[in-house]
Amino acid sequence: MAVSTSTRLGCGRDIDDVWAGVDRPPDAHERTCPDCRAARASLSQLAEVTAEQRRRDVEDPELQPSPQVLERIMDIARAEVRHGRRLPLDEPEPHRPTADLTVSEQALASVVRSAGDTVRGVEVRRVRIELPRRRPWVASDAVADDSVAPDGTGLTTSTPGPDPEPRPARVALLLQISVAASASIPAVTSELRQVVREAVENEVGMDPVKIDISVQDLHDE
Amino acid sequence: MTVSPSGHGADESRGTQERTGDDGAAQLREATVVGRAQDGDVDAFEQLARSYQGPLFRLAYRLLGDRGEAEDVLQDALVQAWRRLPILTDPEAFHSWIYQIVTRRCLSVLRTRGRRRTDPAEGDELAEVLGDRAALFGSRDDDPASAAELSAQLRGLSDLLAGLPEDQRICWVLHELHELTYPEIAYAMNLPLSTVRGRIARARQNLTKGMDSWR
Repeated sequence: MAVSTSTRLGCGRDIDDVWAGVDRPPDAHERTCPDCRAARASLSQLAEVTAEQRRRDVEDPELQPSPQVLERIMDIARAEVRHGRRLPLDEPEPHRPTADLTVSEQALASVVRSAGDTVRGVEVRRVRIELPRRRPWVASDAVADDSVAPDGTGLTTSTPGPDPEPRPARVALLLQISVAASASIPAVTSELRQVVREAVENEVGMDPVKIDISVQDLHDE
Repeated sequence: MTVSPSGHGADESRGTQERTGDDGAAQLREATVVGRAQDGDVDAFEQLARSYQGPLFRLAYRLLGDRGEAEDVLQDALVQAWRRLPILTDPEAFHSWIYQIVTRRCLSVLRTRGRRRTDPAEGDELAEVLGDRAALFGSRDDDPASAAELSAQLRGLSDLLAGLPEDQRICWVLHELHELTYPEIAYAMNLPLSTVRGRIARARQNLTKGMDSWR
């Protein structure tokens, strides 16, 4: 059922418009129209007191929650932190299919964000992490890894031999970023790619085979 | 690093980036902090919780008139936000989204209360607190006469606000004190835009009428 909210003044002007303009000087119509003048007089007092109320509410210590509330919220949030998947630090190999060392997705993303924070004009928003499909195992890998066959026959498949040096696990990253409007996107994305690659290699010990960057937004600096 | 939630006011603007003076650390835009919290970064979430706790508490306190209930709503809403952040599709929408969560929880508390007791103004400690505060703030002003008058007006406005029908009061508080747009309020309260517009218009009528009677 439509209920008249009588937002139109006698002169036809919408009182919402009068309200919206109540803190600026009256326009030509408002100076002469008796409806608008009366409305402005009433509304301007309400607008003034409301503005003061808004300002004081923000400052009023009585209108702040007690500090324990934030503590409780953060206790719960920390207890429920989403660490994400465990990612292997070593590339899974046919002879070593399960990883001993892992890193959480959350920890890897955190390293990426921190690295990104060093690039001026870039804000890393989100980090998507993918493990690329494992390369098909090829014999040459095994030969290269087990370069010295104990009996000199080259028949490495029949003898287990020492474990080859593990390779860092490969990881593909997609970074969603916001870039300062004043920055050059090719320059900052290139710098970002480099610092992220170094951080992932050196601080995590993974092999970032792919770092895709998606510029989601531009921001003023 | 902090973010500041805000409405469309002159001294606070949403989503702008500022550089802090001393340590040179960048203040991240809110959408960035939201994106990180969505990825499970608990420090980013703490920034959001820290900057929104004041405004959201004020909203709940204004709507419910009870400190304890307002704190419960604040806590439940922010915990729910943390759990559901991954499903928020647009990080820019966090502001509207968190206001929606708090508003709906307040509405639910008010509905429950409505079934329990009939007098909505019963024990409204907020009105008393704000009455005292208005006097206190007023005493700091330079011109005692106008300060006293302003304090009286503020107390009067708080009383008028508390006396408004609930549906009008909620829309008014969201629009005027929290500077949410009509579409944001419609989303928060799950109402058609025209209903929101109508309620705010009626609230404004009632408040101006009440204030005119002071003269």
